[in-house]
Amino acid sequence: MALAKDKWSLVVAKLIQKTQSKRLKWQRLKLRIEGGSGQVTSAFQTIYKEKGLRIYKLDLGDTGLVWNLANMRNKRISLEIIDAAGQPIWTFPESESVADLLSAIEYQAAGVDEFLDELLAD
Amino acid sequence: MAGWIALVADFASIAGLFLTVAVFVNLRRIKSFYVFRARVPELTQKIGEKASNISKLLGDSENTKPQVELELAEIVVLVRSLRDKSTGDARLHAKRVLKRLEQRAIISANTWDLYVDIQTLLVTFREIQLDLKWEK
Repeated sequence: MALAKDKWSLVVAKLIQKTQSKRLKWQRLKLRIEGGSGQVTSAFQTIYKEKGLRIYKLDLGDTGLVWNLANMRNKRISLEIIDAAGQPIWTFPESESVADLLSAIEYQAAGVDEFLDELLAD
Repeated sequence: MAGWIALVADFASIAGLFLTVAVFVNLRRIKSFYVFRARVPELTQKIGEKASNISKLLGDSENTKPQVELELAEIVVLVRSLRDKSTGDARLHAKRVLKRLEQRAIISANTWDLYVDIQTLLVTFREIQLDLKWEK
C-alpha cells in the first residue's frame, strides 16, 4: 500500500534539494516583525514559480514558554509565501524540515562549498 | 438458603474474574500511555536530528553515501522503537515507514523520498503528541 506523504514536507524537501543544487538562490534580508516580540536573527527570501518565499528565524528571548520543533529553545523558524509588498499571505506549518531548509540556505549563503573547494585547491 | 449463598458466591467469583481482567487491561493501557508520553518525544527528536543530518549529507550525495546509510540504519532502529510504543493508526504508519526503510535497497527508493516519509511520520506523531496534551 502506498504511503501517503505530507504535502508540506514534500514541498520543503523539494526546496532543500533545489537550494543545495543551487537552482534556487536565496537573498539575505533585514527583517523586523512588526508588533511581535522577539528578534529576527536570520532571514532570506527568493522567488519560486512566481511566488515570493521568505524564511526567517525568530529569537523569542528568554520567555521560557516556547519550545519549538527544531529543538531550539525560544526560537521559531517560519517559512512564508509573501506578496509583492513583502506581506505574508501564507505560513507553512512549523516542522523539522523547515529548520533543515534554513540550514541549507545558510550553508549556501555562507559560501561554505566554495570556501572548502578553495581550501582544498590551495 | 445454602444453595442461594453458593449461587451468590459463584456470581461474585465470576464478577471478580471479569474485574481482574478489566483492571489488567486498564493498567496496560495506562502503562502504554505513559511510556508513549515519556519516550515518544525523545524518539521523534532523535529521528528528526538524524533526518536533518541526512538532508545535509544529501547536498553532496556522491561522497556521503556511507554516512547516509549509517544515519538511515540508526533511524530504522529508532522507528522500530517508535512502532513498539504506539497503537492504532500511528503504529500502522510507523510500520509502513519502517518497511520502506528496511526495504530501501530492494525498492531502490530515492533517499529524498525516504526523507519525506520520515518527515511525514514526524508530523503524524507531533499531532498525536499535541492531542495527548488534552488527555489526562
